[in-house]
Amino acid sequence: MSSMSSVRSRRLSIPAAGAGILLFFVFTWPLVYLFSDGFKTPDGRFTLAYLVQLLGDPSFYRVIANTIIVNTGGTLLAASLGILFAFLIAYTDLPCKPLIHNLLLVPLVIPGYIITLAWMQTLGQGSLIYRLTHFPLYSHWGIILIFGVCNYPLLYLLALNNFRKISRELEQAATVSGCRKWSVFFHVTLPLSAGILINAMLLIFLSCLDNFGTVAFIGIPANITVLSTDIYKAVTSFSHDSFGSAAIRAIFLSLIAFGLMWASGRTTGGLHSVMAEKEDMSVRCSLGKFRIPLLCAALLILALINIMPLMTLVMTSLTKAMGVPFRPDTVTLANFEKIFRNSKCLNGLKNSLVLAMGSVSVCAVLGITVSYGTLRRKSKLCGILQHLLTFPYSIPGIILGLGLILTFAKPVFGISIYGSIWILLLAYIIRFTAVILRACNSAFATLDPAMEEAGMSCGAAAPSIWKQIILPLTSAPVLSGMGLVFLSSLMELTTSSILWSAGSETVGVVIFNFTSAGKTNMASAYSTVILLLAAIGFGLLKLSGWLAEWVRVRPAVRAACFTNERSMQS
Amino acid sequence: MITSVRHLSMKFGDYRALDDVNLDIGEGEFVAVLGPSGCGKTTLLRLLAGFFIPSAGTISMNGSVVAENGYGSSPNQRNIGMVFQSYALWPHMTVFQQILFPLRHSRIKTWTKKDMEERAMEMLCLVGMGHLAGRYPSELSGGQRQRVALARSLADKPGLLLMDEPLSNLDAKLKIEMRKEISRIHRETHSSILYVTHDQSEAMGMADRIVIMKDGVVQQIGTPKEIFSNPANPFVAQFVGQTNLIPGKWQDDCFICGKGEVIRNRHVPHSFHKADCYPVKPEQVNLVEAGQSGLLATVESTEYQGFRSKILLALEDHTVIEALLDSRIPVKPGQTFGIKLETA
Repeated sequence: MSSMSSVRSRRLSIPAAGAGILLFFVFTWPLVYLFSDGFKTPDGRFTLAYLVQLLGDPSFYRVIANTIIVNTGGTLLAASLGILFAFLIAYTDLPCKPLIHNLLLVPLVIPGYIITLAWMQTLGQGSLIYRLTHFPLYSHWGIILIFGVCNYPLLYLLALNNFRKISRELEQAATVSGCRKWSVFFHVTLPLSAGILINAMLLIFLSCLDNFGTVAFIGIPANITVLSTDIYKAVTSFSHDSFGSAAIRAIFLSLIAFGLMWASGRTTGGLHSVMAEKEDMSVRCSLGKFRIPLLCAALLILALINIMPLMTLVMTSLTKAMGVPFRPDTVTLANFEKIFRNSKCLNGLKNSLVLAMGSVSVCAVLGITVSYGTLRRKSKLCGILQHLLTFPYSIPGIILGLGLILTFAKPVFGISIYGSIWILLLAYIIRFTAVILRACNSAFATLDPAMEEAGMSCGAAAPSIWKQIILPLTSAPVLSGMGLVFLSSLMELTTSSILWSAGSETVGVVIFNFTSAGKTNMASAYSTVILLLAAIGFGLLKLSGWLAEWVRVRPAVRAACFTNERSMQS
Repeated sequence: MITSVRHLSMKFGDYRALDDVNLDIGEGEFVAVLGPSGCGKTTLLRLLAGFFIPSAGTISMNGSVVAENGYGSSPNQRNIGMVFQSYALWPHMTVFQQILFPLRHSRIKTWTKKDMEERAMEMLCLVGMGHLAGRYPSELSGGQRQRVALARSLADKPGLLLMDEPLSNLDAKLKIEMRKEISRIHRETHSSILYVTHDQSEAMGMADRIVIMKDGVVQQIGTPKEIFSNPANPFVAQFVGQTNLIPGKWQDDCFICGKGEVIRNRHVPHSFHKADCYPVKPEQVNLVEAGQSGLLATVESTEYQGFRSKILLALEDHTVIEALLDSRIPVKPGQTFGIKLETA
């Protein structure tokens, strides 16, 4: 009976249940608190005063109207750009597709507020483009433009994948039935993608709702207030009822967000039966003599929306003051010098790096554990936690921030984290665990359980199986999820903007404060440094990937040598 | 190693996947578990491996209990090897590393590095893969992957080798080739093997003994010859022996069918008596003039197969039976014959 040492049972252990309850409180309590605070007087009694006040306030309806106008406009612009490029890349024989594809994805890695900052200089008074076009950046149009250029990659990627999966025969059937080429696109391709496209547009609308940087940088000077800036203003007004009125606004915002999430959940599905399993990469639509002109047009658009603003950003960072033209004799490194002397800048970078590392570690442990528990152990607790951990991802960051302030304004169990860097870490963990969780879910779903079982049948115990089988085989998607969380935490602004305090500034907050104070050159220089650092980090990551590959290949070479040796002996 | 399974049952919720299974696998014995899909054969294999814990019953290996009454040791503590249906080769390891893995985690002894490498090479040579040690699984063909999986499962000299439909992913020609290989490796290594399959020719061709299962219950255990020639019940008869079941009535040792055709046979198991049928192989069906037998049949179709032809015959109650006849006998669809059954 000696080999009966290991007993595996499905019973819930007490630590696991405790951790589950803790997570439940951390992830939902801030929102519960927020919702109740909208209906509570400062001394704790129930009141409808905030609601009545808000509904009677005509400026609130202007805020709603502004929100709807800029978000709808931005979503439509993003959708047109995304569908256009997805069609070109998926179906046509446009040259240089990989280059265009990569250029299209630039806004995915650069935070929206830095893009906004870049556009502020590109279209600022006195700039070349402004003199040519007189485009009013500080207006609804400006916000719509930036929402569009920041958000189209999501729709582009989803549409691209979907277009490629549409079975070619469906389109050929339409052609055989006498449909013209463009007709096929509008009568077959687009309707087949409608579900995905609408879903993507809802997500973009949601992301515009969540946006803070753009509407703060452009909207506040232009006196265009939207829901998130309205809440920000309410929180930072420091009047006796500021939290209450912010909370009631936040309830409106979250109701809209939930509504959108619910709608997007309903639009997916259906139609999938006609989709091919694999992506069809072949050319379906030959451009003929338009190939080169279209390539030039595409590159021009991309240069205009993705490259030029960033170049202007770098140029601004190299000039002494706003409005000084960029010439060889005006180039100066003074802004960079100031930044490296400025303790807030350095502190911000340090804080963001620490926060990013902290949130990646916690999110990874949570994500991997819960995902493995759900997919392999079929744990009910983990199944519940899945929902719990993904749910805050759909809530606008400003609401999460507000909820955390309200929850932790007074010490909880004697621990006070408000006003310290810890509340930011908590916020990032709540916001970003969903990203890694999704990455892990798809990684574990594609990993054949037989891989682990083969390890067990070879005598390996759990630690070896994780180290030698599970982690190496899931590392690519899990690491890319972790990279995304790292980048998002490093550049986070929305929640940080209301949770930061002196000493706990983050990168986003420093840029935000420079911009609000009118120090655009400093903000640009700081953004340039951050982008450079991010690029270097990305390069190092790639390099380590190659190194890892090299290390992995070595044993293969050794085994081959061993084989040769043996065959020579015999 | 001797493995004993006693009164083993497995329930998934309300579903009984395995019901009171008893089985012994002797030293060096090749046992095949054969049955249609959903018969519980894979459940039995996974219980032996330790991936499931039995609801009731015991499994013991070399006299020590490894699973009992809802408890069980985990697979890495059992002296087993396993070949998976999908081979389950780790895509990030070379062929050589795959074989080293069980040696590094050996349950029987601590190998020195040199011994490990020699043993791994020995295993690769055994399966004829010595020259491909540095390859990754993605660079191998299906048959080669199968060989690597086999070498990996045998490297640590397991007391029992479990094979889960290992040939189902290969094409027909490779199947025959790998069948020979597995038989040869079994002869050379003398390992005890439990081999799960739904392909009866695999089980018949390789196994020392066959376990026939249906709906989680063992139907018959015996050598291939016993099972083919003396099926224990109508299910085994039809599943393994392509046996025709003639409907009729039993009176003691006499079987009465058609219009009073009587067959006397003392050796038919009682389960056929209960099912009111009589087992007969296609080659035991003889055609005679319509008047010479009480059992009449009409020819439905004929299929020329060389020396013999396969004839489908419809009895008067529309039961269709199969007969194998000398191709020189002229038979045409629509003709009516009498039927005589051989009782050898």
